[in-house]
Amino acid sequence: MLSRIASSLYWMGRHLERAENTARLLQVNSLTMTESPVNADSTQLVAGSWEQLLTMTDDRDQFDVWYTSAGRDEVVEWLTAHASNPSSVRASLANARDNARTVRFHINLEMWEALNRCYNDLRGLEADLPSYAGLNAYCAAVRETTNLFFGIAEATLPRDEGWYFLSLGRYLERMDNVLRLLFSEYGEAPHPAYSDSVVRDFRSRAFLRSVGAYEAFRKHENLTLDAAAIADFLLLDSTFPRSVRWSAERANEAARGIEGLTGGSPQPARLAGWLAAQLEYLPGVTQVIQQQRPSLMELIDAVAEIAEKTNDAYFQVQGPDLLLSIPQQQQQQQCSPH
Amino acid sequence: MDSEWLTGYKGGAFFDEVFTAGGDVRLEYAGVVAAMRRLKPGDVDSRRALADLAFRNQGITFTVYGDPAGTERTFPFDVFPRVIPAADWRVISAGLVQRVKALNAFLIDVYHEGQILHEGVMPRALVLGNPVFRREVHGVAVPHNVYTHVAGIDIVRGDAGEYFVLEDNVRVPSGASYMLANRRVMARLFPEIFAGRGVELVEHYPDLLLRTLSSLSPRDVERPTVVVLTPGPYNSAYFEHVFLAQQMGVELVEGSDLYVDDGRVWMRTTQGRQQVDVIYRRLDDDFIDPVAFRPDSQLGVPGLVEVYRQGRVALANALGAGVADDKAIYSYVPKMITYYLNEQPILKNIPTYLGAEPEGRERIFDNAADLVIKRVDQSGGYGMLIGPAATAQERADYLAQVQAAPGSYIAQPVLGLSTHPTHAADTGQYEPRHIDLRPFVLSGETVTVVPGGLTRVALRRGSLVVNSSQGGGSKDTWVVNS
Repeated sequence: MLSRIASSLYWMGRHLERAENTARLLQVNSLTMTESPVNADSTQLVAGSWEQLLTMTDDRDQFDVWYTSAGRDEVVEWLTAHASNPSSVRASLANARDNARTVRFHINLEMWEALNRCYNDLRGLEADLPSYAGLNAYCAAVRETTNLFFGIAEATLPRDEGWYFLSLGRYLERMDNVLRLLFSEYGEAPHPAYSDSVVRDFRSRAFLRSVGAYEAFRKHENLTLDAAAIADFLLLDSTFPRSVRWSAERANEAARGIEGLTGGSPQPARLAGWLAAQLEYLPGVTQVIQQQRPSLMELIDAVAEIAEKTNDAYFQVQGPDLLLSIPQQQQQQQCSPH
Repeated sequence: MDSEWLTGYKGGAFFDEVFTAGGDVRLEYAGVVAAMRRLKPGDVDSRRALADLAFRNQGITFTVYGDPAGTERTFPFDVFPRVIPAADWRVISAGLVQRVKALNAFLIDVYHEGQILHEGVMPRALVLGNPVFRREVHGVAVPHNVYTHVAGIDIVRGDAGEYFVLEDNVRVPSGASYMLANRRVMARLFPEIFAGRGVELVEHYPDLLLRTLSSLSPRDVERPTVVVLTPGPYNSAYFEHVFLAQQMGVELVEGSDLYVDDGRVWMRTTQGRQQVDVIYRRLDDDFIDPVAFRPDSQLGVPGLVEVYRQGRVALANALGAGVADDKAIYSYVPKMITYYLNEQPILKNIPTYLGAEPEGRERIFDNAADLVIKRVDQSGGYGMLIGPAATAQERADYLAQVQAAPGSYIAQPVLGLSTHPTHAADTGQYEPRHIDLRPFVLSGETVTVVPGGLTRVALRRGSLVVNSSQGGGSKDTWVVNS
């Protein structure tokens, strides 16, 4: 398989996963803030803040270039459709669609059509984003798009190199997103302790919902919404498909698949396997959250390293260096057909 | 029935493909029109809407240059098919094969002996001074002596329905994918119309293309590595590049996927490098190798032309083929046919006046109001003046440009292109629209033509320009044995 194609499939997986995660965050946050009680001491909402989403998506710095305040309208605009945000939902979907266009024949017509159609539909929904209903409909449509796309892939794509690159991108992105979410909740700032259990649980439910984990968590741990139990579930659970451990295992499978089919570098599979093994054999979540061995940031770095080694081993092939090309759009157009 | 499909149709002053001047349906269309009329009222409209949707969902789109807002558009598809009787097609197809053989003989000649120039049949300057004549490939041997692997020859019909060649395209002609996509959509949406009509198949085009390309391989291997080289997703024909690569089951590559090493061309894959034997290149000569041609090209492969000259990679179409389809060279094609094949041309040329020649120049300045004037180095309907449709001021402005560089212009009489009943979006009625035909001729060890081709239609009322970039659409094209 061409390195460029492999890279496109990988990035398609990453972009779609990111679009879905951002849409989940936005949708849950919007609902949460509508219902959120106000904390008597600080007059702040106890759950949900638009600002917090910027930490979770790791783009506060860029945001500040364009906005002076981080209210609902600003954050929604930035995360969904701002032209200068390369990680916005629109940019992620546009990137995925551009990638899909160049690999149209490594995926299949059904997958391409699903993505192309949904992308066009979503552009039409952007006008309604300022309203609650509009944001909700938009986020739901984004999730349906990515689920439809991956669903068709699951059902129709041969388990060849292309499938593994798509999966690897998808699960690396999922791990990164969930780890960042955990970091925003358990990382630097201490988790605020609310004496009122109703308020505390409201907050916890919102957090779980933003990763689509609430119901799964309740089935798994039906007594309390204890903060440590939540972290344990999202990080170490062996059955929940959005836990970091589960995703690491899938990433490892994908990387092994690639290695087996290409006879290429074993590095990405080795690193993903090592990450999965650590998460499997950790004595408990406190080792990460409290003792920081490894810390959440170190886990985020470990995911980044898998990505880096994949890039080095499979996307950068020998031969003369590629020119760092400025956009070639103009030349592509000049080179005109007859 | 009082409102039968197409009953209100009024042809214009031109040859109409479907109706005779007396208003009767021509024999070759009787079956189609009757079948369309048997559909339930409203069916034609609702299926037309489905066709549009199918094209949009599949992303069968092209890019319009210089239009920052709408970069992608579907190529409008008209559901009323164009029918060519088998008897007409036999003549057209023989004429196409003859023409392409002559164009190819011309290319072999000018890139080797130059016999036609020595004998003064064609002016030397017109060929050797042509910007698309490539000295770099003079004397280079090409597989099977073929330069014009894929040719798109544009054909139009005049006032009496006679067929003319409007122009030859032997660089990177587009449109085959639309021919195939139109057929697929038509057969799926209008099975009742299609079934039992005896329409000649076109879907084997990609197989023929792959066979042609594979036969060029410099390495004697069972499955040579053939690739389609595209300028990239921003090129207006990108859909076609994807489609053809997919149908042939070969890789679609961009310049950056290839590199030259050890005197060979390689592609970068996840399993390391893989040698490339044949490149179906969909970019112009200019862009193909920054070392040989445009140094600023970011689309090509540095060093490719040298490997090509050494015969270690094949390119289709061959480098330098463009000198055969130049709009000024066109006027000499009938002479080429006589000179190389010793035959009479089967298909007629449109009379053409060359700005490069004194008599031609005189004609252009005296009769601008009756002529279509074109730049020889532009295509796609860009840079032309349609005399009768232009204002006096527009004509004067254009002639000033001609005056500055007369050699860059040619002119032809305005041809009353034939019309075909076509759905008009604004009135909802079928109205006459001008059409042309681009058949695709493949040359390898043999020369073959897929029956039919792409019928392009000028959707703007009264317009003669069928190019997709200028508001053109297309129709499924049936060669029918009946």
